[in-house]
Amino acid sequence: MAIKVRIPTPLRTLTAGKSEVETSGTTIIEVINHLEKNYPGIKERICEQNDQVRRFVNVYLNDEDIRFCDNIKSAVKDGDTISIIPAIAGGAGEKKKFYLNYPQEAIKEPLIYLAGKNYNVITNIRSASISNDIGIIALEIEGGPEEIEKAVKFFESNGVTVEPIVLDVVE
Amino acid sequence: MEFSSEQIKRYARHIILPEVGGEGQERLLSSKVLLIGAGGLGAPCGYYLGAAGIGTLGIVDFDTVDLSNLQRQIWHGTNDVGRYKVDSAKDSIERINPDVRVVTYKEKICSENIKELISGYDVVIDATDNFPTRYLINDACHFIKKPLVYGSIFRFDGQATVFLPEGDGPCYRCLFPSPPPPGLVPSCQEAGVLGVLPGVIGAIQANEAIKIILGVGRTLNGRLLIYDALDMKFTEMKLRKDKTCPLCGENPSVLDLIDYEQFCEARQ
Repeated sequence: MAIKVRIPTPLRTLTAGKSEVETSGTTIIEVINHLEKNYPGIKERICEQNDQVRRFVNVYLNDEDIRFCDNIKSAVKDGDTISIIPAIAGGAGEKKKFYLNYPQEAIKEPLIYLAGKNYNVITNIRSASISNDIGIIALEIEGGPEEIEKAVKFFESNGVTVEPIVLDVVE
Repeated sequence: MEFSSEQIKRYARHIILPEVGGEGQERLLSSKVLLIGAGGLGAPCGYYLGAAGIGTLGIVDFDTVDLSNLQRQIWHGTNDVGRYKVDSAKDSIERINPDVRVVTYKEKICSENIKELISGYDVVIDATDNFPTRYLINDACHFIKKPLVYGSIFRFDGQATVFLPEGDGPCYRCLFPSPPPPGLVPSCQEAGVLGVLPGVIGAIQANEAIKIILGVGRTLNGRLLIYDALDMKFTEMKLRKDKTCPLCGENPSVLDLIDYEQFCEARQ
């Protein structure tokens, strides 16, 4: 019997979509290190550089928070289940994010590149769905308010609908 | 309080339950619940609270309805796009149950207004979508001593628990001492969320609020409920009070409300 680790959905991109993986080790930190070997990149999502679990992530050994046991040195045995529970808020938006809805004719235009080239803004695509006839992009635009406004106007002048993603209290 | 014959009929399936009875239904009708957030979690939660006959339901939200909300925020309809969410929510509740007095607040909840907002209510429900507001609500409920029903969602994952002001129960800061740095956790708006997920968690929040008011059963206080919609799995974790908690621990350093935007931005 091995040790099971339950993976929350935000980290499943690192485990090829698996919600539960098997590992081995005798302590929590050994298990995490073993996990990192099989799924590179996962440790830094859970731990700080000094191996301590990040303060917005909780690691549970069965149903007990490891902070109330021996923390990362808590002893683990075969048959245990470890769960990684990150803080989720349903939101946590930042202020300068926009939804860009592309009309079909604009999809092939490198508008995001041009916005970054023509205006003093840094663009970062946070999520996108693009096909032959639909283009929806969640774009983070960093920069001074005037530059951001210019970039938004530029998108709009190319037929793109720009909707701000507002930091609100609703989810 | 005397029930009208219409009320007896309306609440018959509650009154017949020994755990509720006429007395419990009266208690619901004289209770006051504040729902913060009129979106994905708020909609199912508020719907059930309204149907259950919560006497006064306060709803806080400054946002307006967007077409992309309707996939999950079920108390708004297509015709409500562009309206204030609280107005649309009020109409929906009044359509179901005219007994409920709906009080709407079209304002952004902040350190300056939250204490006054929550002080008149018996139970507070956190149906918000961002960390600064969650820490704000947690701290305010600790200082004003109000039970807080917490629910949160992300993609296919949901969490729910109850923080009670009395006893040895934990608070949100005991669970997560600090928020993730900005940008690390994408919001629902960009990451997406399965529409049914807030329905499940919001309904659980309504259930917990009703139990707190009735004083029946065992609430989620001290337990964190985790819902994985993809695996269809509910798990429960122990949630303990943290002695080193800066808010409710032995040597608290947070003695009054702080600037929560800054608290969440400044991290790391």
